[in-house]
Amino acid sequence: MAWGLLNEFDIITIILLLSATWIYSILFRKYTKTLKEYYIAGKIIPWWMVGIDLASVALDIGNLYFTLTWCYAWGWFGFSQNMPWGWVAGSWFISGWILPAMYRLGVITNTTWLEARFDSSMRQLAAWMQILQRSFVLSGMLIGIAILFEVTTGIKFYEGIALAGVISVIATALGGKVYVMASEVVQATFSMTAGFVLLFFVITRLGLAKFLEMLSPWMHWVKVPIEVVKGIPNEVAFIGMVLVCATYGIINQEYMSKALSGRTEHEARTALWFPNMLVWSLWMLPFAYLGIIGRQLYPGVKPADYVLGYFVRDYIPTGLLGFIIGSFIATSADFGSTTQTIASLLIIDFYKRYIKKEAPEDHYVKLSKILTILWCIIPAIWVPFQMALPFVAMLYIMITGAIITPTFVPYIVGSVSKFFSRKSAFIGCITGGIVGLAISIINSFVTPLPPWLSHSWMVPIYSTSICLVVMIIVSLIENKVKGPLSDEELIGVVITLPTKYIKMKPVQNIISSRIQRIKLNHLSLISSQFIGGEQCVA
Amino acid sequence: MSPEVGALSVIESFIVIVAIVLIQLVLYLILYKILRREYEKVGTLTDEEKYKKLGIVKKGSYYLPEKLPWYVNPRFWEIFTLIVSIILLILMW
Repeated sequence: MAWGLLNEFDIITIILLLSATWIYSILFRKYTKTLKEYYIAGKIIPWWMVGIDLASVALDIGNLYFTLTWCYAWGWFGFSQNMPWGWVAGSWFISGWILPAMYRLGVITNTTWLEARFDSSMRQLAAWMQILQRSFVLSGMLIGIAILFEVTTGIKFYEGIALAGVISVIATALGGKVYVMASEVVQATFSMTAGFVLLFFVITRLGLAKFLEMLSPWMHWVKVPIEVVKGIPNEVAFIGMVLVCATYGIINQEYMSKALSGRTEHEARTALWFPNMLVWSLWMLPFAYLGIIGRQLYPGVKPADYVLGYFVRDYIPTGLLGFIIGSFIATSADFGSTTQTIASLLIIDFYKRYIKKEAPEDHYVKLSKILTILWCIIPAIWVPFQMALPFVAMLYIMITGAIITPTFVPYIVGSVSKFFSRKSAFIGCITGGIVGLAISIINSFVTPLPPWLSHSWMVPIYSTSICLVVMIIVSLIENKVKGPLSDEELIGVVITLPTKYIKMKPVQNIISSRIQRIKLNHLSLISSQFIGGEQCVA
Repeated sequence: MSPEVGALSVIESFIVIVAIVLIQLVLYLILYKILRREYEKVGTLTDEEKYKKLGIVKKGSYYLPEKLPWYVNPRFWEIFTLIVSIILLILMW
């Protein structure tokens, strides 16, 4: 029995790797009774597991390609997409201000915090932007799995897409977030091992000296022998890319939901750094190297994502192919986690907020599971657009840079300062998004603009700056008209506020009324520990 | 596939499969036991009850255990990662 390049042992290995996740998910069914359990694992996950899972968000199969193709295009410069500056900069804000505030507020989605800090329109804007962005991510994962199937088994590309779609969503719907957190630790282990095994075979066959010779000219963050964006210095392009990457964890509900799954606030904060960053760097290292030498071994491949499939095809012996392919595909467990993220935004931020406010908890959980499964179909609409680009992740970067990046500004400024008024975030993000979109549309359809203005790494600099400026202007006006937001209104939402002079009774009343208004009825931590008075649970 | 890539022998392929099964089994089992224990310990508690049980109190702006080991100290890892990042940036600029 053979299936393309795979022999019977390879096929058995793939089946074992994939079927294990489905069987495993059944064990966790009992931990999916409430929204808190289904979406943030009931907040029971130890720090080390949260850390590995956070790395898994960034390194699903789509991101493995992401790393490889960026390094294929720009050498080591491409590796800096993830580590360390953009991520470290973003993680400082998450660890210091954003995550503690969300953790204490007891939110499940990061966008819920936006309503507590700003208003409901900002919450909706951020939620729908995320749904759009996560759909591109899902589409990239579908393509990634389909390419591996196509190159190694001969399954046609679009049949591979269909197969990829159902691999992990059912398991996620069955086992919820607790299952996702556990299974991703195993899959991260296998995927990381598979990456290094693939690299080992490539180095063995090429010879270490030749491998290093191919690698060395490209091993610089900025001084790579290529102009990364034509017409602008690499240093400037680097800053733009760092800005795009800094937003990732903050606006990404999937990332935040895993951090919020941590057992305690300090464990969740620790996990953001360790083992997250270490696992992350190690995991993608082989793919970065393969991307750099792939440029020289397989020049002119479009989309460059196929290069990973070519490496697997040309360097891995039959009998081990199943392990490599199965391990990479198994990281598609994160596919289910991403559809679950979209389900959380649709159910909590939209359905529960506006459509059916007072339904029993199991109604929301059931609907969440159905949406988790159904949403695997929707992203397929992006596949043709992404396949027409030089690399699949390009659509994600273009859209994120133009209209989604501004939404990270309110998370940052809103969590560190009470100056910014309630309406400022929505108006700022809309303005920044319109400017970003206008630049992209004019550049694509009207007249080519210079790269310093129109490149997808440059656009975020303008869109976020404009968002910030507009937020400041609107806040100045709104604060003048309505008066600034009081400390009492932002207790538990902005964690750096002084609390010792605040009278407790009015504070509790204000918090209660606001919580009632935004339906945060699962809150449990706005309590005496935080505001120095009696517990105040809505 | 390049013709010279070849294939593992039957024995080698079998060893790969057995290793995968065993590693999966062990990892999945250990993780399941850890999570089940955590769920029984704190899964049904509110955050406030959980903090009381785990001895976590407010220190400055953050909630931390009375005795905080360095490896779960977020501030340690924040500074550590920042330093490593800057060193890497300079070394490979």
